[in-house]
Amino acid sequence: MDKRITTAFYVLLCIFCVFVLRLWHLQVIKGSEYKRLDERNRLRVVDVPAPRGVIYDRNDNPLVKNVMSFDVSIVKEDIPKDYQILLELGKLVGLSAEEIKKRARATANPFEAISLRQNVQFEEVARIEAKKIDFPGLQVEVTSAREYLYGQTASHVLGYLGNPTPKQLSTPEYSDVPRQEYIGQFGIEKKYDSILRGTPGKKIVEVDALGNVIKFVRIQKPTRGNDIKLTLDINVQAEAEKALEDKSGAVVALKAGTGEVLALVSAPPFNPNLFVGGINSKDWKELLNDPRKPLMNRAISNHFPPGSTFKIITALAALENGTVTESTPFFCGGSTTFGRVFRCWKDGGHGGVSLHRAIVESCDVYFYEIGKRINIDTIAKYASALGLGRPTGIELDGEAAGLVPSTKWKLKARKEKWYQGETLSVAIGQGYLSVTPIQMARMMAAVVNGGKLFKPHLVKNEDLEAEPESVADINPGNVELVKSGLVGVVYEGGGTGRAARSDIVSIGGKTGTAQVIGGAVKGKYLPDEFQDHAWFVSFAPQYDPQIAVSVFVEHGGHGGSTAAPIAKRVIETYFNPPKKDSEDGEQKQEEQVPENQEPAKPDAG
Amino acid sequence: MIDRRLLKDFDWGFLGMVIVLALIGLMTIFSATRPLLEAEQHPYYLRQLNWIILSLVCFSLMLIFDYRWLVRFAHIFYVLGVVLLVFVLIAGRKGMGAQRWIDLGFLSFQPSEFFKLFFVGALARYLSGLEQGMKLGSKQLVRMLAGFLIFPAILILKQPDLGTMLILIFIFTAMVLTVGIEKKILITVVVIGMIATPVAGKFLWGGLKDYQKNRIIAFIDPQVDPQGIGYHVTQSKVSIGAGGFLGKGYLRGTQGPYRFLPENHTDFIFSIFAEEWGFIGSLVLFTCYLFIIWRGFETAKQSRDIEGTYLALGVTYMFSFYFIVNVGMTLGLMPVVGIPLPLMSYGGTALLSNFLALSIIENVRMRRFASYY
Repeated sequence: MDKRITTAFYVLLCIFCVFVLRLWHLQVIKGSEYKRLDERNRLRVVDVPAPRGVIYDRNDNPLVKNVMSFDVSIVKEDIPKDYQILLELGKLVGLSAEEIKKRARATANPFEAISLRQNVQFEEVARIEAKKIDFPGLQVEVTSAREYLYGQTASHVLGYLGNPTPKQLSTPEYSDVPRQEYIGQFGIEKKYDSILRGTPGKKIVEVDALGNVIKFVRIQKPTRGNDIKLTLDINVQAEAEKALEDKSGAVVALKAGTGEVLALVSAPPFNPNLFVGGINSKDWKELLNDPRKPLMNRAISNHFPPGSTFKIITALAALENGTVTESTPFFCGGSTTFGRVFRCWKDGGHGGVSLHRAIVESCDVYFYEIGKRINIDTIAKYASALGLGRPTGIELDGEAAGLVPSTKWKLKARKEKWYQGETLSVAIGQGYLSVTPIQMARMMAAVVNGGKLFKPHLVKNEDLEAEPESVADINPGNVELVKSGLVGVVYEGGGTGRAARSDIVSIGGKTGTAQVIGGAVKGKYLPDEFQDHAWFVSFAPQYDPQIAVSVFVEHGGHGGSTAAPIAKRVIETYFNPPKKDSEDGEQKQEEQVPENQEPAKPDAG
Repeated sequence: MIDRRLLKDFDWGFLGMVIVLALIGLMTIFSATRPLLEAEQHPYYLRQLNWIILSLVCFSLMLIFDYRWLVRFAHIFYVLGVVLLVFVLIAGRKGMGAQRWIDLGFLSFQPSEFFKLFFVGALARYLSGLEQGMKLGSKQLVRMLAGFLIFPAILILKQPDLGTMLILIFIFTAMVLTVGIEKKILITVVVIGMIATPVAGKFLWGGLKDYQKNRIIAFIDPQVDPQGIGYHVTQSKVSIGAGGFLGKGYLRGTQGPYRFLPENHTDFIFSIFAEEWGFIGSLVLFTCYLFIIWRGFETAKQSRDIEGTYLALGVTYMFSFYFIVNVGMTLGLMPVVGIPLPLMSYGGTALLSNFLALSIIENVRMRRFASYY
């Protein structure tokens, strides 16, 4: 019996030895490995978003800044499994149960914080905090969010932020961007995202099994993004937007000697503040389905026939080419014939007209006559030397090329030879011609600065002298001839651009009316969508021009009545800026917000 | 009261070690349940302290009664125990998917915890009634199986309390083997066992609850579902391993208070201890347990009569089995069954029943030379 008891003790002793060996294995041999696992349990690396750089206008007015934002997130593991409770959570944070599940599916890490809402209003934060106890893992954190100080003003230039798309995340440019972070998805915010973004920091926190943060272990501070100074003049920009009011269209104002963009307006605008903290699907759908397409940048993406504004090119080409001189007269009897009848806009005709009068009164017959005598390729040469028919290269996505037709182009694109009759249409800015508002502004700038073609740019780089992209070979005398005609357009009797007449500064410009439907059916009483597009390209002042402005109003009717007054307001604001008055500025913003929201709502039914 | 000569033979070292382990348990419970965010400490350690004091009192009181008296009435206790087991199935309090507790209003207890002691007593009574030195034959074996083991084992499995049932089977087997068994019966049992295992295994597997099956699957391969069924085992190994050679230091452990290791103050208290005290501390702890077990076996050998031998032996087997299964489970060497670490785990009934069991060893030991009265 005693022997068996002793044996039993030895058996137990053996088991103890096995345990000790196992302990040795776990604690000594694999100790460091388990220590790592233990830390992985406990320590969580949280990205600390870097504040984005501030965007200023040319006069150092901040346009976009960062403000404190309350963000709500929940640890994936803690998302309620019970559907009823999930619905309650959804109600609390204003999301559907499906949306929460969808967001949770994006990560495999059960301990990752799933972002539910960002930029939550303070009252709502209080409500969520009060209910937080019912939802373990629900967190409210303070981060920084973007605020667009001027509301919808310059929305197409500044752009907006959004989460990176899966496609973006797979590119090296965005490889170090946390999936939850907001990056520029439009406009300057997108183009210069890598500069504005900065480097996110990392926060190492100790968490318990439920994801509650117990303490901070280490913080690696984020590096703030770099600021960007734009060439934009927010006053000019705002005035241009106000001038466009509820119209659809675009205004581009450039500094004639450098290509700096003073204003780049696309109307209708959108409110980039809607995108802060993630745009909700209702707002997004409204933006996408708005028939006025507020997300489209009409200043660079829209292209239409330039109408009579193109006569500037035609005139220059004819003068340079020797087809006409200053005094070459043509007779306008209201129409001319070349295979078919080409009508002047003025039924009674202009009588005998020289170049100056032809520009001032925008006589079509005069330019048809040029069209009869000039080669299309000559026109095309000057048009493209002045930047038409190709993207200008501005720092924004989605720029259209437009089209300057030539014999070569037609042969290639249409497999047909060019007919001289078509040159007549091009001579007055119709036909295959198609240009963007920004191209027209650049063209105007190049003409008045003696042919120097600058790349329009939005970012102000003080270190760099503006270098023209190319210089068109134009005789300064011819330029002066055209310029005096353009000033006549505004200031002389019978000029089509009288509405741009300013007492402050001498403005020159050319009106244009781009046909939407051909033929003779015209009039004020046509429905809007059949109304012509209105153009006005202009510069100021007459001597030593500093600014070039192009205005395009969709279905605006006549350029002279619709577009010219807008150009005048823009130019006057540039030369006579409003006095700095913060109260006034705030008032302006308040006015704009309700105005924007009204038309954005889709029609009922 | 107690004869002064008995106090002379009292094993103070044994009692001291029991108290030391209980206090180590108390410290570890304090550490495992210490709050990190809330200001208030969970009152686990205070309740455990109360139970330790109560257990010590009971330990001492039990020493007054001669163990032979316990053996004499063991069959009555046994029947009483079975009645309680039946009662618990009919009217017991349910908790955590099991029906193990009897609620008396002011306290609730698990009859199965105490039944183990009655079981040991009944076995001792039966075995000491047999002719000494003989090997157990098939007749005795069947009698013991039918009389002591099968019925309560089924009752306890019904609760379900797999751990306690396994303990009964283990004590039974160990006792039978120690007393001695006829060779041909042993061979027969082994052969039948080998043949029947697949069949019985299938039957048993089918009888298990899903969570019990999952625990066994998780034991075989914790990686099957590290967040789910294998979670306990994985986190327990992480806790122990992270302790390293010297440990993180007292109150420096994180796995428990950070709630990565569930049930940390009950079944997984050793993992918490090992995280804070490391390999060296665990070795010391093992030595303490080994000391108690060694004293148990010594007592069985030195007992002045066979009743004392069987009682001490049964209790020592029970205590050893608790320790082996619990520590084996935290080390990932055995499946997770809900068995506490004796003396250290949080839980009043288990603590009291262990103190009572160990008081039997002390009882036998202090009376080992008492043949002169």
